[in-house]
Amino acid sequence: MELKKTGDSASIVLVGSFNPQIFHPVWFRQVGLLPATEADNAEVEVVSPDVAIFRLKWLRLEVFRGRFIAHTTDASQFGPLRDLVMGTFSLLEHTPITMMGLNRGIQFDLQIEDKWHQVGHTLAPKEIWRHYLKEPGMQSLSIQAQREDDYQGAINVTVRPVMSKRYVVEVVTNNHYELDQGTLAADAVDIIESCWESALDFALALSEGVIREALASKP
Amino acid sequence: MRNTYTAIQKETLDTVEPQETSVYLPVDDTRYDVESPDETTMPEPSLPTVDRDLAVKTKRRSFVVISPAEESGRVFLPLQQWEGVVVHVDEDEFTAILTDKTHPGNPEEEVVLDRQEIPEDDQPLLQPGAVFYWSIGYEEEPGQPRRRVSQIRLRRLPKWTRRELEEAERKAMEFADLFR
Repeated sequence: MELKKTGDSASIVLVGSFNPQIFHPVWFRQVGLLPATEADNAEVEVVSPDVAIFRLKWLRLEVFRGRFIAHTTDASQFGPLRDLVMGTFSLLEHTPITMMGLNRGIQFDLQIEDKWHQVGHTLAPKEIWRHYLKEPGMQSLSIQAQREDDYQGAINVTVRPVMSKRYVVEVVTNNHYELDQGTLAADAVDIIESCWESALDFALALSEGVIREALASKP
Repeated sequence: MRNTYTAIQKETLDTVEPQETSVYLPVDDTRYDVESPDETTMPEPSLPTVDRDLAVKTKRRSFVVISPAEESGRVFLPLQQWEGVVVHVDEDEFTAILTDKTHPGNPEEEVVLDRQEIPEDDQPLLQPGAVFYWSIGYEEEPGQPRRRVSQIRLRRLPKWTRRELEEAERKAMEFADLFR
């Protein structure tokens, strides 16, 4: 059965120690990470010593002193998203990094209300809840699993209905890495380079698999 | 460059329990708690941008920022994606080897493309060895009819990565062994 996707987004999140005011579109243009036209048309929300946020047509970048987030909802830009983060931290290679997340969120339009409920009922059965609550519904379900590679961290998966879209369910996969003390951005860049594509592929296979199995199960 | 902030000022919300966070309040009342949690997940789309009540109720040490998907509403869903490597550049055309990213089992293809397919800003990067991403798909924006678009973007990496350098060194050693 072909699942209909209505959204596909990805993000790279780094936890560490950052200097937000560096992260201005002009800096990205000057170091060649963004073309001039994009950088000059960036919508800058704020760039200050504590926080920097700007948006392009395909990217939203948020940098706090403790966290860096690059996020796109344009599935054709997953490669450029990786390049932007790798390019940034190849230049800022001595930035201390303690954690990293390689994330993908895929939205599926289930089109029919019964199917939409079936996914929720299958992943979060309501029998017990109905003893105590009136019409319980799944708002968000989170599952954590061990990593299967040699890195420290976890795989976190969240399934939730997208309330702004009818009968749409989103599966968000967080490939979380706990990095050793003393890890620098250059090490994180190595992990991104070697793991980004497989993290995206894993998230796609997992998301489609879970929704397919939930739809195929007997209500 | 547009800047949507006319001023940034610190504010203490008296309804919020004191925390070791600074709160920056832009003109549209968006609230940012600068200390963010130690999470590496995606920004949560369920938190609205301007709902200060929610931010106060939840009392989380998190920033309250709407996710890009809901903010811009723009979504691009690819039908077909390739990654290409430029092998030859002419005045009007260029030749590239394409790898099918949508159907990875498909063999590589050599294609000739019009230089005009490349955005003006990326033209100086169009040289043998350059990597590019080519996608054909549907672009959806609120209030706009769904559009089928084709877009090419050249890879921008200002510095060789450690892995690329190691790979280059490994290849150099292989060649050195051949000539030994």
